[in-house]
Amino acid sequence: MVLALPPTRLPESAESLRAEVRQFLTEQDFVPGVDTWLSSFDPEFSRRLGERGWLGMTWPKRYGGHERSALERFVVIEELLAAGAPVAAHWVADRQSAPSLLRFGTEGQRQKLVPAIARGECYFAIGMSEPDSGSDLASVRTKATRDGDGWRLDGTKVWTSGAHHCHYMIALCRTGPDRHGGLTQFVVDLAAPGVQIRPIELLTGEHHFNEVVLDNVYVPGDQLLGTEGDGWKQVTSELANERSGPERILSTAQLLIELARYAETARDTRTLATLGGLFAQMWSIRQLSLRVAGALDRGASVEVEAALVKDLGTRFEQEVVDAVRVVLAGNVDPDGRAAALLTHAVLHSPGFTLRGGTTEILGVIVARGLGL
Amino acid sequence: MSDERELLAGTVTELLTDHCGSDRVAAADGGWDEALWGHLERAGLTGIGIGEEAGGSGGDLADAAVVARLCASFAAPVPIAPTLLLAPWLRTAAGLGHRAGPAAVAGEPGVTAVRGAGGWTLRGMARAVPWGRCATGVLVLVSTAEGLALVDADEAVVEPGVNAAGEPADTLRFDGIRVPDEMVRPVTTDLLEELRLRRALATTVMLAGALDRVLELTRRYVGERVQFGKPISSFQLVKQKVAVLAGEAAVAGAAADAAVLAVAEGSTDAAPAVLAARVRAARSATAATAIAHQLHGALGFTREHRLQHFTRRLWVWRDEGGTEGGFQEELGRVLAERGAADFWPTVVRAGT
Ligand SMILES: Cc1cc2nc3c(=O)[nH]c(=O)nc-3n(C[C@H](O)[C@H](O)[C@H](O)COP(=O)(O)OP(=O)(O)OC[C@H]3O[C@@H](n4cnc5c(N)ncnc54)[C@H](O)[C@@H]3O)c2cc1C
Repeated sequence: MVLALPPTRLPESAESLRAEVRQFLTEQDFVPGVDTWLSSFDPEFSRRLGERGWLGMTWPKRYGGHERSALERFVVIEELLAAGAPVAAHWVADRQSAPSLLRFGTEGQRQKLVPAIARGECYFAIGMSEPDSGSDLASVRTKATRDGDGWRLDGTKVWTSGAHHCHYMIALCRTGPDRHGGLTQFVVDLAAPGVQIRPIELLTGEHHFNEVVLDNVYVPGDQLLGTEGDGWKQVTSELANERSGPERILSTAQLLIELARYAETARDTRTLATLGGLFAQMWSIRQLSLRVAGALDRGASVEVEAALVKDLGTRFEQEVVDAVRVVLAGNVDPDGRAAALLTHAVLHSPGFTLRGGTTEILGVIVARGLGL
Repeated sequence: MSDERELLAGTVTELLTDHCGSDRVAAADGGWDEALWGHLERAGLTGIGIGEEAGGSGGDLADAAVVARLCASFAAPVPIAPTLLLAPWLRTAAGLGHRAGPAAVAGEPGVTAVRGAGGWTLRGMARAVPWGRCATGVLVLVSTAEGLALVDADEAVVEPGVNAAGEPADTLRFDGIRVPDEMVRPVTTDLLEELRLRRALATTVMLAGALDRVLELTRRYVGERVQFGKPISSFQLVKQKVAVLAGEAAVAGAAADAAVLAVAEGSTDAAPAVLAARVRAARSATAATAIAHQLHGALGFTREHRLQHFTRRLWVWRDEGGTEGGFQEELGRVLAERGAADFWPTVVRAGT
C-alpha cells in the first residue's frame, strides 16, 4: 500500500538535469497551456526533446534510449508539464507504448520502432476503448482472426487521442472467447488499408480524439505484441505506466501559476488562502507521486499506488480550475492570458477524471488493494 | 525508512501495543498515563532526537517524528509531541540546557518577567497549555522590558483544563514566581516565528499518526460489519469512501514526512513545506473523520468505541495553533511575495 511506500529522494544528478531543462525551456518558442499533454501536438518540439535525450530516457542505449533512472525522467517530464510545454505528440509513445514494446515486444519490433520513438519521430495512439467497452475494458470486441501468417482486425476503437497524427496504435483485441485470456495486443499501422480515422470533436469543437474503424485490416504476424492471450496482463502493466506520472497532477499547473501572478498584486485574504491551499495540495500530492516514481525505479509493481495517486491528482487538477475560477473570473482582463487559460481549463476539466480510468474505477482498485 | 528507523518503529509499536490499549487510553481521558510515560522513558524513547552527550538517546528529528507519529496512532495519552518535537529544539535554540522528563511549552506570551536582584519575577498566566500539568519543566515565553525571553520554569500554579480530545490543556499561573538568571534567555521574534512553525510541524506529525489509525480501524470495520446479509465492504459506495480515506491518510503522511525532512535538513524552504503539510493534514483530518464516522454508523458515535479516541484528537489537533484557513493565507503570502516565477520552483525546492 502507498502508506508503506518509503519516501523518495531525488538523486543529486536530478537537480543539474532540472536546470538544463529549465534553460532549454527558456529558449523555446511556445505558448504555455493547460492540458498540453493531450492538446498541444508539436512534432518539432518533440524532435527537439529527442535531440536533447529527453525521450526514452530510461531505455537501453541499443534502442536509442539513455539508460537514465525513472527519477531523472520524472524530473524532466514534470518540468515540461509545469511549463505548459507542447508535449502531446510523443507523450503516449514515450510513456507507455515503447515501454510495452521493450517489455513484451520482439527484437524486430523493438529495433524498428523504439529508436524512432526516442528521436521524437514516431507517435503512438492507445487503442483500448470501444463504443461498448469503457470502464469494462475486458469486454472489448474488436476481433482479430488469423489470416495465413498474419491477422485480420475488425472492430471500432473510440476516444483514440491523437490517432489522426499518430503512426501506430496498440490495439487490444479479442482472439478468443475467454474474458481475460482471450485478449491480445497488436501494433496497428494507422496508414494500413482498411483503417479509417474519424474525428470526434470535444465539447469545445477541438479535434483531439477519434473513432478508429478497423475494417478487415491486415496485420502481419510479426506485429502481434507479446503473447497471444496475454493482452490483459500486458494492458494492466501498460496502465500502471499510464496512471503513475506527474501529468495526473500538473495538467492545470499553468493556471495555478496565473493565480500566483494575480496574487503578486491582489493580496486579499481569499486570493492568498486559495493560493496557499492549492500549493499545499500540489506539493503534498507531488510527494506521494515521487514515492510511486521511486518504487517504479526499483522495479516494484505499483498498480494500486498509481491508482490512488492518479485519483488524488486528477481531482486536484479539477479543484485548481474551480478554485482559481472563483478568484479570477471577472477580475482579470477578459482578453488576457489568465482568462484564456481559465476558459480552456474549465472546458477540459471533465476529462481529467475520466481518461486513463475513471475516479470510480480507481476507487475500486484502491479498495481491492486495501483488501476489501 | 532506514533499517535503524524501522527497528525503532518496531520497538515503539511493540511497547505501545503492550501498554497503550484502548482501555488505557479511555482510563486516561482528561488526564495522562504516567505509567505509559514510565515505560517509554525506560525504553529511552522520550530522549529520541536528543544527543547522547546531552543526556538523550540519540537519533535525529526524523526519528523523533517516527516515535511521535506512532504514539499518535495509539492515541497515547502522554506529552510526546512537546517532549520530542518542541522542547529539545527550543532549549537548544535559546541556549538552555537539556532537561529530561515530560515537557510543556507555553508559546503565547501572556506572562511578563521583571528583573530584580539575582533573578526575575514572573507574573501572569498562560492558558490552555498542552500537557501543562505533566511537565517537569515548562518553557514559558515571556515579555520583559527588553523584549521577549524564554523561561525554564519549575513551578507554576496549575489550573487543570481539558480540551475536547480529553487531553490536558491547563492554565498555568505565575503569581510572582521567582526564577534565577540562568533560567531566563532573551529570544528574538524570529525564534517566536520558528516556534510557530515547529508547533505546526509537530501537529502535522500527530495528525498523520491518528489518520493512519482511522484508516486502519475503518478498513477493518467495513469488512466485519454485516448488513443485508453481507459485509458492508461489499457495497461499492463503501469501497469508494474507504479508497478516498486511504488517499487522505496517504497524502497527509507523505506531506508530514517531507516537512520533517525539510526542517531536519534546515532547508531554506522549510517554511512553505511545513505550512503546506500542516494545511494538507488538517484537510485530511476533516475528510477522514467524516468518512470514518459515516462508515462506523452509530457504534462509532459512542464513548465505548475506540474510534473517538482518534477522531476527537484529529478535531482538536487540526485547530492547534490556528486553523488551516490561517495557515493557507500565511502560505499564500509567502508565495505571493516570491512571485509567480518562483511558484513551481518552490514546489520543487520545498520537496524532496
Ligand atoms: C480526454 C480523453 C482521452 C481519452 N483517450 C483515450 C485513448 O487515447 N484511447 C482509449 O482507448 N481511450 C481513451 N479515452 C477513454 C477513456 O479511457 C474512457 O473514457 C474511460 O475508460 C471510461 O470509459 P467510458 O467513457 O466509456 O465511461 P463508462 O465506462 O461508460 O462510465 C460512465 C460512468 O460510469 C461509471 N462506471 C462504470 N463502471 C462502473 C463500475 N463498475 N462501478 C462504478 N462506476 C462505474 C464510470 O466511472 C463513469 O462515471 C479517453 C477519454 C478521455 C476523456
